[in-house]
Amino acid sequence: MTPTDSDWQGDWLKNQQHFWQSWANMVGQSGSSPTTMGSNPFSPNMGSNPFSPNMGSNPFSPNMGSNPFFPDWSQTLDQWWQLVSPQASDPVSEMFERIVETGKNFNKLAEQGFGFGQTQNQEDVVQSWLDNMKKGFEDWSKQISTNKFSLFDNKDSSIPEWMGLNKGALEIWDTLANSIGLGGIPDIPGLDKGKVEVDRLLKSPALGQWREHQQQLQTIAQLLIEFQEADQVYKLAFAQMSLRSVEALRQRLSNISSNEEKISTVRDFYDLWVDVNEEIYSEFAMTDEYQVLHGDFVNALMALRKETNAFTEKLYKAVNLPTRSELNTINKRLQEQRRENIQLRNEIKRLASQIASKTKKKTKPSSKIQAIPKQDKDLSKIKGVGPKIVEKLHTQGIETLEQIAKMQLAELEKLDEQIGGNGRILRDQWGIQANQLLNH
Amino acid sequence: MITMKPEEMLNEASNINKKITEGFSNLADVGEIGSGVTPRDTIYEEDKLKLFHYKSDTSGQKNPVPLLIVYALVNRPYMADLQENRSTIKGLMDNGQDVYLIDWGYADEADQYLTMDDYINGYIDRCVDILRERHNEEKINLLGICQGGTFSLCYSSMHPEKVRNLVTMVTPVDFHTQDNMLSHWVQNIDIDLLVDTQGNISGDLLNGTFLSMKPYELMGQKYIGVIDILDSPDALKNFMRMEQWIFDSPDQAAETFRQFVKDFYQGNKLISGDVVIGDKTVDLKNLTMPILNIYAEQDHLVPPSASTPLKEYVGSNDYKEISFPGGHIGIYVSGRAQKTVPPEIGAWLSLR
Repeated sequence: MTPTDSDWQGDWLKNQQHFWQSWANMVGQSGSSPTTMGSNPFSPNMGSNPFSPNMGSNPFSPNMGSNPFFPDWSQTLDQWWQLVSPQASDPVSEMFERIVETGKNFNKLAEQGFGFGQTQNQEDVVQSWLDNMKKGFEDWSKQISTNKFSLFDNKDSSIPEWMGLNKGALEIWDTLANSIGLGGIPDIPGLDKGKVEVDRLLKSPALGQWREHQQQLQTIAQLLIEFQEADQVYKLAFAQMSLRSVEALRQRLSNISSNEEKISTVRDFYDLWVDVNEEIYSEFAMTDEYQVLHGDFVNALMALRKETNAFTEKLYKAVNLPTRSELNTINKRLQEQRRENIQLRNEIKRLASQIASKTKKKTKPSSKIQAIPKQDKDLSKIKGVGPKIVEKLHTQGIETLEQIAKMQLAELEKLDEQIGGNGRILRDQWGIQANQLLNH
Repeated sequence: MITMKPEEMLNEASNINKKITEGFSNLADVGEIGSGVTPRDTIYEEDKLKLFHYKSDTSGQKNPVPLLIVYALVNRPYMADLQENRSTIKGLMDNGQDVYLIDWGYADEADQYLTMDDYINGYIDRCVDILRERHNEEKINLLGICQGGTFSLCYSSMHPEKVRNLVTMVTPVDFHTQDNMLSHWVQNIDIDLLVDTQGNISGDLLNGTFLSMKPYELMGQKYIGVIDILDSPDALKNFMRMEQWIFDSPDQAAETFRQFVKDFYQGNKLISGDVVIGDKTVDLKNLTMPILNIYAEQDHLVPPSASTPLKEYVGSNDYKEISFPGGHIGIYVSGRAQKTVPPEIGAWLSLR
């Protein structure tokens, strides 16, 4: 994004006008503006508004698709975002997307309340809201239970996009699970049909030339089943927890109705819903049950992933391509070698200083730093000093090894800065090196 | 009382849409966010590590013993230097300390065999030696943050002759207390299988795990809250800084992650004296230097119960604890923290 760009501002203004025009059309067809509306703002023609083409998209209003009382306010925001998001830079866009997502969820809540409010009194509106949420989670729960072997087509049992739950604990691993992709496993009988034909695959005997190959596929199929089971248990537990949250919310609201507290805005309701969810979730997440099913899920996912990786590597090897295992071997050896190098360097440093101190004692016991007055202009004798650095040293007026040998620590540091050495002078101990070179 | 009216709901939705769509233009004024505000020099580099020295603009009396900050491998260290008026580093400098910091950089697949030995007895030790030589001091002051605090405890136990004073902030010590959610979650995970399969552990995965400790607040409610400040470029910029930091999570070197989770989170070996790093055993009794242990009372990542047991295990007879009424991050960035935490650390160090 070039945020200061006048084109950008122009585009933004245009989109802004477009958005408000559409919004005004949608809510204002009865002649009222959103802020002053006193009469029923609902317009029966709303369905034809280009900004609310799909009223049934809310997963929490499964039976509302054709109900004209429910507007689709979140849809307008979505469409607006589609228009402006290409103008934003990545980090800004990512953050703003999260805001828009949350805004949409919030509006879904508001639009339901609004819809219910057309025909019901306020207490009933809240009950309808709760019933609707409950139904949403129950449906989700049912979908999870029935889609036992449908990892390849599990859209139906995906997490409801609702109040951040979709971004919660479940989604992290879900994303990772999806990233397995399983695209690297070709020709597993039955798998490509969207469903593991367990019996056929597992019971067929592994024979002949392809025996090993087939055994591996059988292992993968077995791990896949285990993963799907763990996934199902995990998601079901989340769905159950969500149902408990709805009940807890119902309880909190009934307490609120009977005492002095007040819920007068969608925002109040939203905040309460977040509170209740967080409370129920943190209880659930600290149970032994959660510890077990979370671990089982991760372990099952990793076991599957490990085996599919191994399978894929085999295919890579077959066509003589490098693999992650080979790279790991190299990296591991390299790291061992680097460790050894550091040890050796330290050892050399220790020995060198020992020798230096002995030489010092012999020649000039009282002096602090030893520099033998001998002319040596070959700076490249210092380890790590090439022609370019020699040139830089010359520009700083350093011509001889003596000059370096005589330098104090602070001077060496300063020199390092001047030649842009990034600590090289201290690291490679130029002072000591220069001294030793002169002593030999 | 529940008094929500349909027309009010329409107004609320309308307002949300208005604020979001109008607020988008304010992003134009946010400009560059950057990472870290206090001027600094890089005085040493090795692999991806950078050792920063912060440039002081105060001419007041300075502690001759340098202070080295060891940050966690998780997330990025500019949390301690987020903005001009919210910088723990600046606060420490204003309170007489000569501050250095290790920036670990971003580990990648080539770093996956970096062990805790490489990090602690390698990188940290070399940085400490550089500062000892640079300042001509036998011992320096060490300040560890979160996991960096645990690393500092290990380091100081293995090299007590190089550490004059040790400060730990929001540092886990006892990993098996009742209210430790992260610890609760990892107990049934096969870490060897995870690390062998994944290699480095992705920053996104860790970040997602942290967010999922309070998913409804952190991934939902927070963004409804920000809608209210979209019309204020300053407040928005502060929010974006924090937001950038939260999602800026480096990957974790596989072998270090393996040992850290297995020995510390699962095995709780730091307090039993069974952690072995390289060829050395970590014994907290070796910590005889003065210790200042700071924790946050509302810390959901490292609960106080995980930090405070430190006093039972160290060999020091000069141990002090400070608690801060806030969270894991608030202790570095909140206005209240700025007024109290760095001055207390500065004063404590300058007396020792």
